[in-house]
Amino acid sequence: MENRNDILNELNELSPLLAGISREPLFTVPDGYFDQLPFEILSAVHSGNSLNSASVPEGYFETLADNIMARIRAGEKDDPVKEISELSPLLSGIQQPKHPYTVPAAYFETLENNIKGSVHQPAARVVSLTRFSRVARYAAAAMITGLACFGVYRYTQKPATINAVTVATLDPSIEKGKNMSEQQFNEALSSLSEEDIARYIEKTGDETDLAALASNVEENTLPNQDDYFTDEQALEKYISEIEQKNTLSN
Amino acid sequence: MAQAFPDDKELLYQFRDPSTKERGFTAIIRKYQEKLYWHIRRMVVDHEDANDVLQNMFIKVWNGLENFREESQLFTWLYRIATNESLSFLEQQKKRSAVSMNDVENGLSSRLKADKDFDSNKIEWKLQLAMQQLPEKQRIVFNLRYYDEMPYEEMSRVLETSQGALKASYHHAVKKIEDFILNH
Repeated sequence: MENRNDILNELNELSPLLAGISREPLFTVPDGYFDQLPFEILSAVHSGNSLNSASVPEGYFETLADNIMARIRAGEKDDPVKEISELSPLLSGIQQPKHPYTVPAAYFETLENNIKGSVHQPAARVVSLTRFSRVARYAAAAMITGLACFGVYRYTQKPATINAVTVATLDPSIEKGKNMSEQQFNEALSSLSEEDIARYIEKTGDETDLAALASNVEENTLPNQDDYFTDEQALEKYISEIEQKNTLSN
Repeated sequence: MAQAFPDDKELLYQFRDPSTKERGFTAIIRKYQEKLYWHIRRMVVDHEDANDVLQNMFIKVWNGLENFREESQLFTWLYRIATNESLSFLEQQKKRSAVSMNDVENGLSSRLKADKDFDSNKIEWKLQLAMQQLPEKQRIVFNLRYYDEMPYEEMSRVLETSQGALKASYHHAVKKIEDFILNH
């Protein structure tokens, strides 16, 4: 019988190149593979399945495409630097930090204390409304609704049934308004201040009136209160919407 | 040398323990403040506005971190809040001035030009002007990818948009910005 040395010598004579290649196996097997193999074979034997069975797991082909794509995507390394250099060498070439902004000295050193101060004083950030402003908001809405309705009345010349008691209790300024031309009326309306409106409501209304008015004024139809007092366009738009509604209902 | 911070799990643990809540919160601020600041600043331009948005953002973190479900990374969650706060800020600016978002973006461009260091010949300033021409959400995508080198997968979680859409948006943004720089 040939011994190992003879075989090696033979190979060396035939091809020194091949003889010089390491014979360590390149492939690996999962841990414990050979330990489990006999049991798997026996199990297959007892269940009548062929080891070379052509069966595949259920749903295998349905998910195969997605699994392959997922593996492809996982293999494609997400490289933002390479991406931008391919998309735009111009943008890629801009030196770090790539922006021109500066921050005040020691900004980041003091930031955490500023934030912690704000966290422990959450009320400081809340813009609270004074009772007067809340009253004035509803009052303004009610006043403008009333005056806009009166303006529509003036425009359409539609006679209204005026109760003698109501006439007796009307504010003199509204009496005066009845005799104004449309232009005079609009000028007078625009000259009203917040204080005038609030005073009128306080004088002629009570909490019941305010509650009734508030229930008829849907808050979500009112302009945002910041816009309301700072943006004339928001107010004008709101008034014209009311006039349109009233015209349609008449 | 970059400061070493505890990992996010440790920070969350500290925050959720009442005895170490403030320490944990402080550490979160220190760990993420600069990244979040620059992300916000690139959206709102002005330092004072960025400072306001950043501080409001961290107040929301203080109030909401207890309920953070850890379905995403902490940083992803923080970025999402910072992005939403920036967008809300820009939306409020639009309402206050009763102008269109285009005018707000033009306003941001004007603010850039008003900066004492503004130099229209420098490409970094041109880049900022070019970015203001993008729709705000596309600007966010560009910022996250170009400046923060955020992977699309993470960006998808921050912005709750598909990776494909983000990639298309970014590529489009790069082309628009390049065209702007070359033509101005």
